[in-house]
Amino acid sequence: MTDFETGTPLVKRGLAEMLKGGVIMDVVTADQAKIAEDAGAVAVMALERVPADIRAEGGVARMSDPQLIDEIKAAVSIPVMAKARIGHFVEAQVLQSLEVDYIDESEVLSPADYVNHIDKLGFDVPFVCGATNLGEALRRITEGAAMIRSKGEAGTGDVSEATKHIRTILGEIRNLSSKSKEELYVAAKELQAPYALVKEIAETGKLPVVLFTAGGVATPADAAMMMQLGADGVFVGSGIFKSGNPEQRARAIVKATTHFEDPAVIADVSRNLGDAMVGINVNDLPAPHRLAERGW
Amino acid sequence: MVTVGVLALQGGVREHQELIESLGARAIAVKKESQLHDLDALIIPGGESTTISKLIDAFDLKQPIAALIASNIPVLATCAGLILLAEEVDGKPGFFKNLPIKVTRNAYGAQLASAEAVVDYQDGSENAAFIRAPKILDFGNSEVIGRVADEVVAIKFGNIIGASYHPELTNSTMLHRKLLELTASN
Repeated sequence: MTDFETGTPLVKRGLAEMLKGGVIMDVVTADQAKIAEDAGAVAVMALERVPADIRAEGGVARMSDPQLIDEIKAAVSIPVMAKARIGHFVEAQVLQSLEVDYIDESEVLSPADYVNHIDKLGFDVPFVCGATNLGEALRRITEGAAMIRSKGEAGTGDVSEATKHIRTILGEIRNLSSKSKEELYVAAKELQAPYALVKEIAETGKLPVVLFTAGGVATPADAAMMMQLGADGVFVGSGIFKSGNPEQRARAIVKATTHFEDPAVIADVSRNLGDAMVGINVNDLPAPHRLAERGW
Repeated sequence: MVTVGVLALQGGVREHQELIESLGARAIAVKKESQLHDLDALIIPGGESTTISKLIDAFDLKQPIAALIASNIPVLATCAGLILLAEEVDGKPGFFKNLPIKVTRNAYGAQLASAEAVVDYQDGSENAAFIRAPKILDFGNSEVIGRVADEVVAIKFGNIIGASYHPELTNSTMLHRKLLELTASN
C-alpha cells in the first residue's frame, strides 16, 4: 500500500524500541523457541549452535540453515532474529529474503571480512551489531545498525566482559556530554566516528538507537545488573538452554529484567533454579578464542 | 496536576512518559499494584503483547488493572496495548476484553512490512509508526477516530482510546492530548 512507507530508519529503530525491558533468547530448535516465547522472551535469536557449543566444537561458524529459521518463524509470533557473519552481505541478503525481523551481524560467527562490515543502510530489514566501546558502536550506527548490543564474551557464562563493555560505552557517552564544542572535534577523531554523530550524542547524552547487553549473562542477577548499569534490555545466549532447568531459568531472567531494581523479586526468582551453565572464566581464554575482539 | 501511569513491564515506556510530560502532566512508570492507585489515566504501551500479558499474569496484575479500567479511568492503549484490550485476537478471546473490536496480530507481516504512515484524525493529521502492527478487522460499536486512507487504525470506546500504531515514536501528540482531555471531563 502506497500510504505506508516501509524500511525507514524510524521503523528499523522502532522495533528495537519496542523490545526495551525485554530478554532476547538464543534458540536452536522450534521447541526451544516455543519455550522462550512461553517464558516471556521479547524475541528469539535463531541459530544452529549456541555460542558455548561453537566455542567447544570450534571450526567455522556460519549463518543458520534457512529451513531451521523457517521452522522457528513458524513456531512463534514474537520477532525472530538471525545471525550473519561480519561482512557477509550475501548471508544478510538471504536472511532478508527469509523475512527475519532483525539481522545480527555477529562476532559469534566467524567473520567473512576482516576489513569491512556490511553496508546495512542498503537493507530494509534492521540490523543489530555488537560493540565493545562507543567508537565501535558509532561506526556500526554510521553503517546503518538500528540497534547496538554490548558484546561481552559469548558462550562463557562469565558476565565480567559484558559489565566492562556496557560500562565503557555508557561512561564514554557521559564523558562526551562534559566536553566543550571544540573538544568534540578531537573526540570524533579519537572515537573514529563522524563528528555529526558525536555532537548529537554529546547533546542528547544517549545513543540514537537502543542499547542492549549480551555475552555471559547466565543468572537473573546478571540480567538485573546489566539493567541497573543502564542497558535497555538483555540478550541471553547459552545461559538458558545450557542450564539445568531452561524453562524456569528463562522465566526467572525475564522477571528479573522487568523488576531489575527490586532485590526481593530477584531473590524470589533465583530460588531453587538448579544449575547455571558451567561456564568458563574469560581470563582462562587464550586471546585467539575471545570473540569480542572480532569486529573493528 | 494530572498523573498518568504508564504500564512499564516491558516495551516503549519512556517515549509515552516524555510525551505526557511535554504536555504538562506527570507520568509515572507503573510496575506494581501499589502504583495503580491515585492515577488519573493509564497508558498501556507498545511492546511484545505476549510478553506483557505473561508479565501481567506472573506479577498478579490482571485483576487490579481490570478493576482500574472498569472504574472508567481514561486509558490509551497503543499497538500491543490495543491487542491486550481487544475482545477478540486472531479469532480467539482476548486478554482484558474491554474493547468491542476484533484484531489480528502482526497483520501486515514481518518487520519488513513495518512502516510509517500519516494518520488522519477529524482535527488534523500526524505521522505515526506501524511496527509489526495489528489490524483492526472489526471496530464493533466503537467510534473511529483515526484512519490511514480508508483503513481504521484508531478507535475510542467509552473512556478508552486504542491505536494500532505508535504515536509516541513520532512525537505525535494527538492521542495523548485526547487522553488528557478525558481526564478533565472525568
